[in-house]
Amino acid sequence: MPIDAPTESPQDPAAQLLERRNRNVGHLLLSERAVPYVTLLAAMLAFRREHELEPLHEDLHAAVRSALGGEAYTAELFNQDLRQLLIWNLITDRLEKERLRGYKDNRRRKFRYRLADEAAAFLLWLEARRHDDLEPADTDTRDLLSELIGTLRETVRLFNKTGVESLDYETARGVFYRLARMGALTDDVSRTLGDFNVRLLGFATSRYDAPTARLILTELDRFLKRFLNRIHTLRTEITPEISKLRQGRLTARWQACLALMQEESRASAHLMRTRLPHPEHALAGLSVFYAADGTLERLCGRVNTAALHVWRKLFTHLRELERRSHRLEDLRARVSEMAALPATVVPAAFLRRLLAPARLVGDMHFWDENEKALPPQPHWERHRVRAETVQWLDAKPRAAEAPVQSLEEARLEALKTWLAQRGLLPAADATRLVSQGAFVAFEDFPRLLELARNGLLGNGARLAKLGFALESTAAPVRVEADRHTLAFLDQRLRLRPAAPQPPPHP
Amino acid sequence: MSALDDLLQKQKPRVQAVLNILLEAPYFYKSDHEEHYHFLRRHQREFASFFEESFGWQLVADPKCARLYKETWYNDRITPGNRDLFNFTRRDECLAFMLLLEFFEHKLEEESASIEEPDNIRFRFGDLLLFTRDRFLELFPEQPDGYAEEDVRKILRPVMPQLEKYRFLLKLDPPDDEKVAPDDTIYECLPALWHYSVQRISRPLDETPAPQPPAP
Repeated sequence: MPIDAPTESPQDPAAQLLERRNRNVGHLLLSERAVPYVTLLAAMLAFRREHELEPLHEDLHAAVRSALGGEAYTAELFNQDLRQLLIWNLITDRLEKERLRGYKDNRRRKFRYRLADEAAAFLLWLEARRHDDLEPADTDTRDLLSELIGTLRETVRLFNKTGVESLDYETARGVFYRLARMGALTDDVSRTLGDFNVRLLGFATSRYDAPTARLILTELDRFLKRFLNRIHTLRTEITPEISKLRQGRLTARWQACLALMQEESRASAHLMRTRLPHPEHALAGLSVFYAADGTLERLCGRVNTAALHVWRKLFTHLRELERRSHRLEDLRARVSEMAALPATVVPAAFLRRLLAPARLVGDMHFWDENEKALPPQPHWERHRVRAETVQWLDAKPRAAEAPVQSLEEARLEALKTWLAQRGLLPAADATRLVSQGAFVAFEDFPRLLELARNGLLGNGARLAKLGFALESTAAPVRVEADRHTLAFLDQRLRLRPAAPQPPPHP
Repeated sequence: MSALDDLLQKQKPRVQAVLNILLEAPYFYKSDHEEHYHFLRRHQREFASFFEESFGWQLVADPKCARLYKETWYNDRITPGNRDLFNFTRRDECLAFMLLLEFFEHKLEEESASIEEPDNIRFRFGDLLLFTRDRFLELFPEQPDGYAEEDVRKILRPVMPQLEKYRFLLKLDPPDDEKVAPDDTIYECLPALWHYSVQRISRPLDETPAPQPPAP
């Protein structure tokens, strides 16, 4: 939502300033074609200064053509610029009819242009600003103080040579003029020192190239030595002069002067509009301003601080500029050399010497001979597409012709072989007690346990695959092998009857 | 009795603290411990002569940062890889670091900043990205497609955390109630960026260093 412009009231002083002003002059500063526009208007102002108030179209074009690029500034461009200035009411035009001079010379109409007062005033303001830029006319505080000393001494002298009884209006007027002048000079001193301070602080925040910074440093050095010392000297001369004027013996003279001036002022109240400063108050104010720890000293202190700040800043800046220009050149040179290296090469030795840390940058994780440090976290790039992991299995090794056999089948076959070796395989219609086996080594005991596990657990399903069944008896037995003994309840091994085949499907 | 011995007798805890801080990290910032930093600056001469006489190291200190330069390494078992501050694996990452130094120097010039000023320079990541991209395009004019903005972003992505880790840069987190685009992330240039060797940067890349003095 746009912000509403403040309402302009005719009683508002700012509104009064803007009243009847052509605000299109602002376009002259902001427009892209500001230079041609101002050139055109300046040419018209030059005509005006030569008493040609309404130059002709052709004359104006000829006057600005050379300043705006010669032939490049065509008549079309010129017409365009004129039209725009006419729209903004910064110039006015007038048609001029000329007499017919011959057959070929038809009645021609010629345009004449006149510069508007608003545009002329704006151009004069621009010229004044330019003049100030080129030749700034700042007052030197030292001159002001010198003048003040002169005024003070003059006033003292005037009082000394004139008694109370011989004081007349002219003398009183002179004394009061000088008193007012002292106040005005003091105000000027305060203002110039304040401006000077602001300008100094402006130096501190600006950018400079090395030669300018060096120049300002030299100036500051000189300034610090001379300017403030001189002001201090002048101040010490001013203070006693003010004290002289405030002496008790001069009070009657001041009173007499004041009375004379007030009488004169009353007598011509409608004609003379002068403001009479009270001598006592004015001198007291001056005394405070120029005292040893007064306003002038404080202002000078501020200027001194600002100057020191600028000096320090510029000195550092200059040092930096000189150093940095080399550093930037060097950096660019090394970067170019580095760019010429192959993409996989890392100039580690260069970087190492460039930074030269005085410490080992090693593995920062704790580890010792027993405890291993945690591995670094894997790098994960945010925008990487994470594909599903595929784990390829190796092909199983297979024998050339033998059928595929599972691990369990292999174990059961080994168990059957062991049963046969130890004489435990039962005949077709008989059973064998496990304790009847011929055991020879300690390895037979794990086999016995394996037999029990396969034959008893899971209803003997695994042993059934070999075609046997195992059942426990209540008889405790002991078997011996290789000087070891195993005690257990004896078990009976028998052939398992074949399961009935399901009937074939019809 | 050396000056530091004298100081050590009078203010042992402070001297020990400063020596430890200087050896614990490549850079000792004033903001790390202001009191100890002021102590170091006040007795800089004593500390500097101690490091110079005892180790042959150079102590450098400015208003914001102190550090030790070590020219020679005596333990051959510590490989050059162990000494490297950064773990850059490609040329372009090294270039990105060098271009950060160049960008920093430009910012110093733009803002007329110096080490004396209390505030460090700050910049938007987007500005660094554009500067780096332009410089890459300038360095590799024949590969404009290889160094587009997104490519340079990929180069900078692993570099920035390392620069944060070793305290060259500090990433400033936005306020909780504000969402900031990655390019608008603000980084602060920490004083380490001032402390690269100007002697080394002024010599060609392939120049072999002067032979090191034999270990005592």
